Amino acid sequence: MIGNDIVDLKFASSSPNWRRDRFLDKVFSAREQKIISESLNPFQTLWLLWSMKESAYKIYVRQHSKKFFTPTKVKCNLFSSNDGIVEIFHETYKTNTTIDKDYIYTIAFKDFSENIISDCFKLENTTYSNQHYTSYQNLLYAIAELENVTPTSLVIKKDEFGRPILYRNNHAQNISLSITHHGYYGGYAFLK
Amino acid sequence: MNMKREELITKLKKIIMPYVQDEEAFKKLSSETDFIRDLKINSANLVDIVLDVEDEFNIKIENDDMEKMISVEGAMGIINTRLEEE
Repeated sequence: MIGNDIVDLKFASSSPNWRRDRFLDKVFSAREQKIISESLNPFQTLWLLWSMKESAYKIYVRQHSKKFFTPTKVKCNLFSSNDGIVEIFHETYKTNTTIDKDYIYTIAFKDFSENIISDCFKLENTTYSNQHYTSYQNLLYAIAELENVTPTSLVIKKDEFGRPILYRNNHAQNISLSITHHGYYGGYAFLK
Repeated sequence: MNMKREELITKLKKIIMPYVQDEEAFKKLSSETDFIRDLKINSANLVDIVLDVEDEFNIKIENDDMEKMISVEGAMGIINTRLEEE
């Protein structure tokens, strides 16, 4: 299973609240706040941990068909600036993060043996319809190329839990996918 | 104190408006409207909404209450409960 999350750092810095203590208290544990404040680049580390939480949460929802919104219940551990583990209740997920000056992109997965295909890309503009359309189209074309099918035979629809499901000729496919976009950046990930 | 429903919805709409990414859904806002599914609000901005609600109503929303802050109905319920405790 797979989850991903992208943060456009310029976009994130425009959020009015992230500098406030109350924002930190609502999202991060005391231990995570210490990791952030002691890091060389607290702003970058904050959004690194955020994207770890988001991407792991997406797998959790896929696995358990259960949504929740309590970021402090999602616990991050960093092993290096790119690799970490996220715990959600009794589940543990691994994460790998790409850190760019403009964006942070994290993929969360269950185990190393999984064959993950993922990409992230810059978007033309930040309207929701463009973010959504471009990210979905890029994913559909990537799957179509891999499976050697026409992209028009594929459709992605979200289910009641907000999970993206791939349909081929109207039949739901058993493939784990995750899509993310934020500001000028988008990304997809799926398991081969 | 229990704020009138209309007054509460008006205040809540003002708070969430800057974060909405689906204007059409916002125009049709009802108590069932879901912040993420319908208004396409991103999750970082959900935290912003929680903080803005705390400021506007001068209440404290505990981390466990955040579960409910994902729809108009849920947010109104939490705001009213906290206001009654004041």
